[in-house]
This record gives sequence, C-alpha cells and structure tokens, in this order.
Amino acid sequence: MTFGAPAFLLVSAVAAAAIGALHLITLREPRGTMLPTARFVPSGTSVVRRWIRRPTDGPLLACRLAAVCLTGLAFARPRPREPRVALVTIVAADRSDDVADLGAVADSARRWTGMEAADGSGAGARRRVLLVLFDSSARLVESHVEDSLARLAGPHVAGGVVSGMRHGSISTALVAAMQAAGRWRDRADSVEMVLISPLAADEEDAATGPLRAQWAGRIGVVRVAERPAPRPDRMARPVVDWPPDGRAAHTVPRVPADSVGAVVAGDVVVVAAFARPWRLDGAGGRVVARWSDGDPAAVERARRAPGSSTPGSCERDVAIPIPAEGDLTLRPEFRRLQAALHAPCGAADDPPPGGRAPLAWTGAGAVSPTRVAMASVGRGVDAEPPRRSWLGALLLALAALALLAELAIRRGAARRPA
Amino acid sequence: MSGSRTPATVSPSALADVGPLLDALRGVQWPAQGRLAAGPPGVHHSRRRSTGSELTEYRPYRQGDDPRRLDWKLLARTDRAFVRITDDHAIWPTMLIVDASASMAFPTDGRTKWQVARALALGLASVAHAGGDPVGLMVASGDELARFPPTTRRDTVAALAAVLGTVAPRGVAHLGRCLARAGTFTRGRSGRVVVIGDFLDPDVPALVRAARTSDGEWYAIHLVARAELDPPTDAQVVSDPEDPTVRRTWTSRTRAAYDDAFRAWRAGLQAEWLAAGASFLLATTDDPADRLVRRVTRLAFDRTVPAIR
Repeated sequence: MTFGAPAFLLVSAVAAAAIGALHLITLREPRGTMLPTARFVPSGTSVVRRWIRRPTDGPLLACRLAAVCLTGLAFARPRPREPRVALVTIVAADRSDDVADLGAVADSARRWTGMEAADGSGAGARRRVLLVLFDSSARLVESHVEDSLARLAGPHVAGGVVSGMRHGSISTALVAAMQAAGRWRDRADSVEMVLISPLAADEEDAATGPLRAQWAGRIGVVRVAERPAPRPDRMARPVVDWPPDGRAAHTVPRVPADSVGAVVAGDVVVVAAFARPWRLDGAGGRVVARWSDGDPAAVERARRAPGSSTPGSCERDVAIPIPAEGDLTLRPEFRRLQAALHAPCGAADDPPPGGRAPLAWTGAGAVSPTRVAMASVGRGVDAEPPRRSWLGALLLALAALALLAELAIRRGAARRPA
Repeated sequence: MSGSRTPATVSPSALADVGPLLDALRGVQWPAQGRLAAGPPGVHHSRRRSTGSELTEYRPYRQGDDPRRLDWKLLARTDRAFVRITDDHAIWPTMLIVDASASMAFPTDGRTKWQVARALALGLASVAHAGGDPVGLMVASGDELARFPPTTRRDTVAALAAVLGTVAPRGVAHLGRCLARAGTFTRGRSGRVVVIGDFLDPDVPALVRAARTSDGEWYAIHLVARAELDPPTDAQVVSDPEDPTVRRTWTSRTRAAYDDAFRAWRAGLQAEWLAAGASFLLATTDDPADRLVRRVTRLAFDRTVPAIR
C-alpha cells in the first residue's frame, strides 16, 4: 500500500491522539466534603475537569478514533502497491518525414527492447517498455507497444500513427519521455531512454540542449537513415540576393538591432564587427552561413524551373551587411566568404549549430539512472497520475458510518436515565 | 431548648484528659481589666476603699471619719492624725459561652475546633477559679443550651468538664439565646463574659451588640481551623455543615477569591468586636491550649490585638 499524501496520516494520528487525550479528561462533580467556611468560596459550576488513567466512554472513543483515522486514511490517497519494475525502457521513436524508413525505426526499437527474442511484451515482467512516437508532437504508448511498432512500419502509415508533418522535434520527444519517466519514478528501479531518430539538423532547436541536460545518464541513440531532401542542381549557378545593407529577401527587422563578431560559411570564418539590423527567416531553406551565435546569415532555397517538378537552380538570401568603411572586403577570408556564397547550388553545407555531433548529447555514464539519480527524473511530474480511488471512497463511507454510530451512541446515552 | 444541665455528681475522670493542661496553667492569673465595684472579697482590685491590710495611701483625718481607721502609730510619731486608706478586693464572676454548633466539629480528621474550645474553656475556668472567681458556663448546641451557673465550688472545673463532656457539636448554635440566660452578665458591669466559637452562626451580631451595651469585660475568642485557613488543593465540592444549601466547588482557581473573602470577613469580625469594647483573639486549632489561655489572660494587661493571619 502506498499513499499519495502521507501527511494526512500524520494529521489524523495527531487528531486521534488529541481525541484520546480528551477522553482522559473527565467532567464530573468531585467528591464532597464539609467546610464550615464554604460560604466564602465563590459560586460557580460544580463540574471540574480531572485527568484519569483509563479513557472513558470506550464505544464513543472507538467510533471517533475510527472516523478520524479512516478520514485521514482516505485523504492520504492510499493505493495498492503495484509490483516494482526493474527497468523501464522509454523508446522515443521518430515518425517524422525526416526518417527515410520507418520500418527501420520499428526494427531498431524491437532490437533495443528485446521484443524480438522474448514474447513481444518487453523481455519479461520485470521490464517495461514505453514508446514515445514523435514528430512535431509526441504521443506516449504504454500498452500494446508491439502493435504500435507494427503500425509504424506497416503499409498504412498515412492513416495510422504517422502524421503528415515535415520535421520531427527531439525536444518534444525528450519532454514526453521525461514525463513518462517521472510517472514511473517510484515504481521502477531504473529507467533508460533510447532515441531512434536520424537526428536531422532540423529536428533540434534551442531547447534540445537544456532538456538533454536534465536527463541524468546516458541516452541510447540509434541513428537511422535520413530521408534525402530534394536538392537543387549542384551545377547550377545560384541567384545571390546580397544587398550591401543586408536587407535581403525573406528578412525581417531585428528588434532590437544588435551586432555580432563573426560569420561562418562552411569552413570559412570571418571575424569582424557586423551590425545586424535584419533577421533572416530560415524556414523552408538550407542554411549556408550562420552568425557566430547560430542564427542563419544566408539561406539557400531551391528554384523550380517553369513547367518542371524537379528543382533547377537555387537562390541565396544573404543578410550579411557589408561595411562601407574599412578593409573588411579586402581581407582574404571575406573573399573566401564571397566565393562560398557564390558557389554552385548545394555546394555549401550547413554547419550544424555549435558543431554538435550526435554523440555529444547522448551523454556519458550509465544508460539507466541509478535509484538516487532517479529522484531528479521527472521533477514536477506526479509519480502517479491522479485517478479515482474506490478505496478512498470506501474509507470515507466507513468514516461516515463511524460518525453515525457515534451520534447514535450519544443520543442513546442522552435518553438513558441517569 | 432545654434548661440547665448541671451534673449532680462530678466524676474525677472528667478532668483526666485536661489534667496536663491544668497543670501547665498553675499559677497563671487573670486579673480584671479595671477596678471592680464593691463585691464579695476576692483577688481583683475594687474601687471601694476599705480597712484591708494592703495600704494604698494616707489622708489627713477629717471630722466624721471612722476613728478606727486612724493610724495610731503615725499619730504617735508625728502628732498628726492620718487615716489609713486601703484597697478593697472583690471577686469577678466569669461566664464562659461556648459555641457547640456543627461547624465546631471541623476538621473531621485531627484536632477539632470543639476540642480546642473545650480545652480553652476549661483552662480559663481553672485560672479564674484559682483566683477565687465564680465561673459559669453556657454551651449552645443546636436547640439545646447546657448551662452551669457561676459558682466557686471546689469541683467547679470538674463540673464544667462534665458538662462539656456531655455536649456534642451539632446544628446551629443560637448564641443569642445565651444572652437571655446570662442575666446580669450581659447587662451592667457584673462580670466577665468569654465567648468561644467560630462566629459563623447567625446570632453573632446580637452578641456584639450585647458587648457594646454592656459595661462588663468581654472576650471574643475566634477559633479557626487550620484547614479553613489552608484548604486542600484538590478539587472538591465543599458544603456548609450548618447550611446544606451552601454547596460550592473548590478548585485551585477559587483559592485566591476564598482567601480574600475569608480574610476580609475575619478582619471585619475583629473590628466589630473591638469596636464593641471586647478583647479579641484569633486562635487556630494548631495553637496549644495552654498557650491560648495565657494569651487570653494577657489581654487583661495588653489589648494589643494580633494581626489577622
């Protein structure tokens, strides 16, 4: 038996002790004696309180104690203790369009969780497998994991669990996985997390790093093939939109305007004081240059030839303002930057933000957090989702019955002649 | 109310329990507080000049004086005639009025107020009787009044002990009825009246009024039990043995109010008796009887009243 709010047990115990103490106080007329000077004693009630060794009114005391204890027990939210699980494996499976083969994701999930070798339910009763299917949103699958994996890899994916979203969000997957881990915090000896994803650049965002840091332990990463994005003709010459003030197409004013110290395009790094009055919207394009803080500085978008469904040339929006003064444009690195930005379409690769490699955020240490480390897992998440407890209702009903019995006893005592 | 109860025969065993007390009081004198009127010869100074042996003063002889009172030796030495003036002595009858109400039987364990009052009455009686004074007794117990008229018989103290031995404290003592039976004791300057009791009875104001209008000597001996001054601390319902309707709850919280009320009542009682010209003594059941008797007799010399405790 576990309790959701054990403090109520303490409260009820204190209340029961107080009631018991009150039953050790008897209100009765004390023994009588003669005192010739009794007339000088002030008039008052002839009933005094007296401590006794054995409680009075046993049935009343029993009813009151039962009512208080049952009420406290009910408010403590008792739950039958469920069998403890040795290992909970949370598989965050990417189902977004960034994945080239969803069947490979399902197979990787089965291999990691041992469903292939066991009965399909997750390698025994001491192990529990939770599935987090994510693209831009995440859904937790706690039961029938194998069925979900089968549907994920099946031929009717469009009408199944797979959505039509373009990119996946690893941050969303991490949040859903940590919430699931928090709910199993008190029922599992350890929790391991596995991420099955192509780890495409578009699937990470600014929250991914901090969210990863909240998970105590290593995350198992299974990298699957990324679906190749339609790319422009690598030999086509790009159309470069690079106004001197940096106000290229698809830019919006940066509020407030700031400055940055460097820009990176491939392996070219230009260090200078750049003013940034404009911000480039990188959605729908490939970033070919970034500011040193990670913001896109130049984006390449495919241009379709008229009457053709395949991409032809490309256009590059460059939001790098060129200083009117100074020798920046004469410096070799700036010339290399110009060359990189005017390179043929698809030639310039997008450097990953911060140069992060997948192994960098899988982390170190054990795959499964220890019991101690699990205390921080899912902090802020209820260990057990609130559910209606028939046991609490039963206890409250019994407490009400005890109160009714107490009332009946008191009325019976009042009717009884003294 | 019954009449006088004078035992026909006095058994010597009546004094058995007060023998040590009487021995301790041997030689104690209880003089009158002033000069007495003319009366039968006794040990107390009288206002009357007489031919007694105790010289007071000489006065020149005047015509009409009794020649037998001339001091012939002085006349022979000085050739002048002087009359020898001597004091007369008189007896000072003493009446003891003892309260034998139910409240005098308190406390139920230990020395009761009644026992102290009985010892005190016998002690005072023995002292007065030793001085040659007639001693009488009236004991009010419920509706009964035991009375022993003043007498100088040899067995007076034993007779008083016998009377007191037949009385048991009960009911309400109507001490006012003693006034009617006391006769001349409470009217005029004809004797000494000693009232011994706890003064919780309704007739006490009548006694005070009688003392105020009387020219005699009045002694008020207020007996208080130690348990009344310092009641037990445990909670209990206390009731007045003389008035069952008085039932109060005694707790530690009522102690202060009780002490204040009781002290104020005692102080008021003492003031009333003193204003009436009586000598007042507060006695507790803890005090030895012989000491109380000596303190009463000292009131004849010094009416300094001990403070109310």
